[in-house]
Amino acid sequence: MYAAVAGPGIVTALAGNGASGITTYSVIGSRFGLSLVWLLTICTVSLAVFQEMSARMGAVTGKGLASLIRERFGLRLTFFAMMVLLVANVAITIAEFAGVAASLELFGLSKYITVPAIAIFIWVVVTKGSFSRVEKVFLAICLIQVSYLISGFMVKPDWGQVALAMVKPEVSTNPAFVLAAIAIVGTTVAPWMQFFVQSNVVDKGIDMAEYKYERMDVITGSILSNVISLFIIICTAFTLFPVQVVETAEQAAVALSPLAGSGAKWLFGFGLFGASMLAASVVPLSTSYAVCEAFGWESGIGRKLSEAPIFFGIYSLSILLGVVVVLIPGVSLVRIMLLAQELNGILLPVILIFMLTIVNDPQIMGEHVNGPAANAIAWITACGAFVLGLVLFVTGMFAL
Amino acid sequence: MLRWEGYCLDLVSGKGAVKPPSWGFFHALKRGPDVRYLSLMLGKVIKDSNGSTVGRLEDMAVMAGARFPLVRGLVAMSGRSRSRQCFFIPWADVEGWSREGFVVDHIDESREAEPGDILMSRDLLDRQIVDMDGYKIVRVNDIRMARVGDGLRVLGADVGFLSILRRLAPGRVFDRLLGFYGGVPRERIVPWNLMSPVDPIPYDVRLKIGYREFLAVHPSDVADIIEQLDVGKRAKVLALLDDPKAAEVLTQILPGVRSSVAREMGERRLSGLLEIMPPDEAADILGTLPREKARSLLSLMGIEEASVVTLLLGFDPFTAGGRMTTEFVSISNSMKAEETLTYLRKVGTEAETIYYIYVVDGDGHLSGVLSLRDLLRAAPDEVVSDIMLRDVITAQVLEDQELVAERLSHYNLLAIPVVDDEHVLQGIVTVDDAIDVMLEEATEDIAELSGVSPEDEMTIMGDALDPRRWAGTMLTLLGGLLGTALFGAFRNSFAAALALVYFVPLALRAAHDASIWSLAVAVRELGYGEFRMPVSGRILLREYAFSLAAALLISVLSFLAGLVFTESYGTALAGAAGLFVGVLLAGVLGLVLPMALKRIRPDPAVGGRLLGVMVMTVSIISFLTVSGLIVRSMG
Repeated sequence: MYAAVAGPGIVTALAGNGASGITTYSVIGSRFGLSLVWLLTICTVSLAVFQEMSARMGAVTGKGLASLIRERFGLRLTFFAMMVLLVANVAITIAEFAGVAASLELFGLSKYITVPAIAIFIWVVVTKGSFSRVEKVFLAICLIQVSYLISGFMVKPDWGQVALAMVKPEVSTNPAFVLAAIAIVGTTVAPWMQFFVQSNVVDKGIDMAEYKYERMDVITGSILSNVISLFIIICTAFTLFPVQVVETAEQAAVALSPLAGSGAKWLFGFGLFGASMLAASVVPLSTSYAVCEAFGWESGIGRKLSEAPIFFGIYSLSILLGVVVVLIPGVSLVRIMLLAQELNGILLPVILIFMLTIVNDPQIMGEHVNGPAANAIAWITACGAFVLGLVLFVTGMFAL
Repeated sequence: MLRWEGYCLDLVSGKGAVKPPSWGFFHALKRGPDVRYLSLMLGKVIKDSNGSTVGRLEDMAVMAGARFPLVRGLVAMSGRSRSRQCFFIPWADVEGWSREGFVVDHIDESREAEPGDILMSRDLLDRQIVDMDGYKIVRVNDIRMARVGDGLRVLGADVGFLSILRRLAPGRVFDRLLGFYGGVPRERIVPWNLMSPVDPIPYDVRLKIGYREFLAVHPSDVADIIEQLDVGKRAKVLALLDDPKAAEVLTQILPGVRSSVAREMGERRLSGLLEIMPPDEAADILGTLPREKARSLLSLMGIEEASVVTLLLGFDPFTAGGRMTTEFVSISNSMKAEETLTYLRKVGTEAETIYYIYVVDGDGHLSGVLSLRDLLRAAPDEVVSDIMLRDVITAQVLEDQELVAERLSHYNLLAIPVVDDEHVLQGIVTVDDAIDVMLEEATEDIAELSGVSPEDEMTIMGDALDPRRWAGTMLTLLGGLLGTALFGAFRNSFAAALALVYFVPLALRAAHDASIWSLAVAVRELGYGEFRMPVSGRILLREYAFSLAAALLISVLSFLAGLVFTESYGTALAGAAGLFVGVLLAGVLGLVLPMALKRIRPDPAVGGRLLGVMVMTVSIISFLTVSGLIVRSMG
């Protein structure tokens, strides 16, 4: 039974930890050590709560999140939400292509060749409908992320220190620190993940009877992905911090050297590649599904180009943008990935508030509205993300 | 009903030197007062007959299962957010409505909508429906209704792109911009009878009804619906109607659409319809058809009707002869008043107007005119030549339509007789034709006012103290200051790469240049009024392609130049990329802004500069943003 339902949560979690996720955690670990780990703990809980909410909305209503937003809020707010989602997702897509470029550059392949080739490959595979098979391959590659767990034990960290860091908040108004915090929030609880998991639940036709298994799936996925995130930070914190701040993928790969030695580069490269491929195909697709769903345009990879022009248009344009930006000569790939996560963190509260309003509307959710605990956590996350964005804005203003 | 069929020949074949009027203008008139959208009505104020506000429109109820149902009542929302209360107002209590809101004469706050009714905002708006025509799932962006007598009839769901824009920006500018693009091609209406809800609605609703329900709907509504249908279905719908109604519907369909319908219809049926419709309408339809088809249709028609139509077909559509109808009342000058009245009773149903009775002599020469009032006041046995007005205002067959229209308006006539060289009465031009003519001319005039025509500025230059000239200069100054402020806001980008400064003059000049080009195109198209959607789509595409190419060329060349000046690969690239975006946007704006401005109609001198400032602002912002971002990201 579990096997039939399992999937959406795990896939979302692994794709959510895509290339930009790995990179973000590496940079943060190397730059701030363990001082932001406490936030990761909070985000794990938030992620589980939000993923559960999305899955529940899907199971109760049988509709995607975009559909619910449109029907609950009308056209104008939907337009706003979709613009936010579009910006956030395009940023992630760009970041994932940066991940593709970075991982393959580790193997000495020029991005000017690999990125266009990979983009065409993804476009063809997804639009020709053979994505479900390929998805499994990417997922398998993603499991390389587990190597961080092993590496994490091998660096023999001070576990007491880690445990303390997980619960003891450290705060600073240094804009770089705030940005890093936003990036963590944006990476763990990305807006697109909520849309993605919900439409997956709807597509699989999961209803409330099967829902308890689905809930296990999303919660497992959330915890798994963030445990990996934690270990990425541990590895980089204990190998690189405070000596070296990660600025290239090559430096980030060092975190795996306790496990793989000189092969760290290869291991890291493969893991990054799998993760970015998965996310680079899933995120643009999820974007165009959501936008078309909201506005009632035809969508679906089974359609012909002429039948669903906007659907394919958004999909293709996202990929194209990803390629174009990554190919700008001299651009810092790591910086792109970080920027995308920061942007997502800033835009996150918008989507969360939409979700929270819907999930608490008894006319839509019936008896399955949020409980007080879920509401408290969710609102704290939304407000927290909002306050972080605000702090960033204010400190940024003073820094000018 | 407005007619301007003379143009259809060219709308369809694209040949000839005749210029069609702006479609947008036509639509604004045809649809403006009669077609209503739910989204534009929701939230409007509801007042009682004393003028005090009782609430706002929350929803509209229609009967479930009805075919193209009438609105049964309003759901009003009263009170503030905490103490909100909804109540139902039956349509019978609605005294009147306008763009501002509704006036009701009776309020009963305890009333509720019938539980079986469909509440359109709650149950349909933003929901998904199945479009039974093709079984596609679409989302309802708006509900389209039409005023029918004192009621509002629901025509269907608007699922098109325009309806999204309308709801996003219901402001006047965008609304008119939409009208300008000409509703038909981009609006997608799912007729009420072809809608089926996707979501289970709490009660059992079957919206789907048969095509035959068109029978119950007013001809202009049917015409409206037919215009929305796919090409292949239009003739089929028309086939369901009986002859008189089909003929009337046919005359009301938009000319462009109509000729495609006519081409799909069987010849026998079509000729039958042409026979019973007014000859000028028939001539207009025939004029849009291929020569062969028109000829064979004429041969199928009755000899008498065919000869009239043939006569009308011979006239240039822009002359009095082209505009006139032959269905007028004429009597011989020896008839008596009583006889005339009897005759009028017999022929009155056919004639376009019966208020003027034209008196002709034995050879058909126009000798006088008699108004219905004169006739009623006359003694029964008076001879008409004694009471008629001899000094008749006439128009010549070959006279320009505009002059004829002006004469009608000048003398406050309902119709003007058209005579040939020998003063033989040929037909009449009625006041509604004249209104059409004037509207077409007005459209042209608006184009001239759109603010970018060089001749307009010339006239102002003559007077150095003309306030408009100073207004323009001040606008330029303000624009310059705005630009300076923008540079200030982006000074961080410059701090990162001071060499970007090399690109600034280039960015400004190039953006200006690109916008001028597309501006010229836009103004030309506007001026000729041929900016209807199928054509303008191509023009837009062509111009966008040009802007893109220009932007590419400029940015590539300036990249090379930038390399020489800045000696930095990165800065040159940043500058070039900024230029690319800036020039591209300027080009696009140059095309789009005049269309928007045309609707606002600012003073010409100000309008042109306003455009300049807008283009400059946008190009500066985009240049600075893009190149600034790139410079920073390369840090």
